[in-house]
Amino acid sequence: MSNPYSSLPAKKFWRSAVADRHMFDVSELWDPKFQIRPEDKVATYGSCFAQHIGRALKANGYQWHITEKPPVGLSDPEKFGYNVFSSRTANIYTTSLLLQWVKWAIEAESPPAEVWNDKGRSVDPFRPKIEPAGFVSDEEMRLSRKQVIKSFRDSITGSDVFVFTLGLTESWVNSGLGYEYPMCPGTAGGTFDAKNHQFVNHDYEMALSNLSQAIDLMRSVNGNLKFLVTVSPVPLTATYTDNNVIVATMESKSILRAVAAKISKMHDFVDYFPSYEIINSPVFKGVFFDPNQRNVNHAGVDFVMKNFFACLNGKFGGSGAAEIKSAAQAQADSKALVCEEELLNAFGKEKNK
Amino acid sequence: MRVCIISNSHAAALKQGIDELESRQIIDGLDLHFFASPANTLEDTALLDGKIVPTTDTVKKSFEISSGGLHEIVISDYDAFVVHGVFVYEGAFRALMDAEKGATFYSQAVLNELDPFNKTISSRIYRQIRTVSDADIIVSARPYLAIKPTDTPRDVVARDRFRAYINERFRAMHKLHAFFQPEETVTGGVFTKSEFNQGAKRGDDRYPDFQSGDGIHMNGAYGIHYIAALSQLLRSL
Repeated sequence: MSNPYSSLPAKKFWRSAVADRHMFDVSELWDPKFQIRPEDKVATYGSCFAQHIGRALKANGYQWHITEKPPVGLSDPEKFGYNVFSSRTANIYTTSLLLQWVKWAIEAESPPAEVWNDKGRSVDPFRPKIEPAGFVSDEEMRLSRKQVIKSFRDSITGSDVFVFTLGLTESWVNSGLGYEYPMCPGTAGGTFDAKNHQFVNHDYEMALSNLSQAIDLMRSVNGNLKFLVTVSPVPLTATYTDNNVIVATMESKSILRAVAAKISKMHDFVDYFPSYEIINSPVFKGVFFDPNQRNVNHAGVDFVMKNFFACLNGKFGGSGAAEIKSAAQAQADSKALVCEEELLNAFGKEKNK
Repeated sequence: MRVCIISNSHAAALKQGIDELESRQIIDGLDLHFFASPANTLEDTALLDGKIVPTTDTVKKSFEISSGGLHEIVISDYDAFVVHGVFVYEGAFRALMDAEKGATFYSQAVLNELDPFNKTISSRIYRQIRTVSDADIIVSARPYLAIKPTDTPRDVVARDRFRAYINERFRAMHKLHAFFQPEETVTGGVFTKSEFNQGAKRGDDRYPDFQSGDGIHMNGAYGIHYIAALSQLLRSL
């Protein structure tokens, strides 16, 4: 009997796609909308997991478009936030924080004057750990921020593809002045002020609206820019909601996953890559997480990126999956991920006793 | 002016130069004292009670031989210091200069990480001295490698650009000066004329003399040029 399912390929059915296969043989997880060629310039930003994508692109001969490069000869560029994302924005966890950076980049808004002080050193509230020892002065901090905003803009205007990994829905804002911090003041720097620092947990509409606005603004200065959206599979380090962190993680990731689905359905120049599913699906039995069940291990990163390139090559041609350089090796060659959110762990330790 | 020269095996040529110039009374008024220890063994020193003291027997013995019996450097005894042979050649500053003079903004911390001076033994000794003394401190690299004078075309433009940059950078540091190899000894901009690489003495009976023409160690004639030029700088401080 003929029906709409009878002509569907094997990947559409659980038995043929999953149950009858070894989990590492699961494939065809992504049907890319557009080609990413080795000569295309790809910018990467977002949460911690986004860092894997840039490094894997570079390791496999693609152009990871870094617009704020370290000086030649700097022995440990990651220590200063170079070669982590395309410019030294540090982690951009939320869609609203992305929108804030984009507005600064296209000069729709000016960055706030706020500077934090830590033992005589100046700290950028929007990149509190970008300089390991802080800046020597407020002026140096402002000059550095001016540089990163320019470089961030260059990565918008000069790239072919903008990869953004959605990380969190929970955020902290300066309620009086109307801007968002990447980290709650008082954690990675600054001083918490209950009067002005307000917790905001983005719902679906907020997250989608902010991402949509950010994409529109970026397209207003680069009409050819394509977007690849992913959702970080890494659970929350901590939640400020009333929920248990497991529940808060599921709620947050569900919202972000839905936003990613929606935005990619809205535009032919926005695609979604399912790194979230590859790591988090019960099919993979949690094997891609470290024992703390939060950090993604090298095998997971490798599996994600092998699928990324295999799907791209499968659809558009190119090198076969067997030729793909291990993303985990690319990571191992580099430094540990730079993930400010993990600083929140320090505030939970006392409660573990 | 009491001047303390702290160096490694390259002290030998300078010592011979001093002996010659003293006999000619060319460096009157300068009281030059040596503390030398081979290769990079000057790393094995520590600051203790206002003195630079050896932390190994090798350095202790070398200080004793080179200084005429002293085991440690009493910093307050000297009006100026010359740290020779453990700095870097000018070209090492290229990355820092490019970063600082380029269009991209880099923080002071990033530039400091790039600064080749910070990675040298001369910087370490500079910091040791500066902890307790306001004296002028001069740093200089070991001699350029020796080649026959006609082997390379003369190119000093880039070298002098680096020298100007080093001088500019050192002006921001308290009483720190760079001293560069005297031009009379140089060929091709960044090489030592091979005539200065013949018959170099070590000046330490524990070891044989340097192999003549080793390309690295210079003779007393080199030391004469070096000390003559250095004495001019010392008098100008």
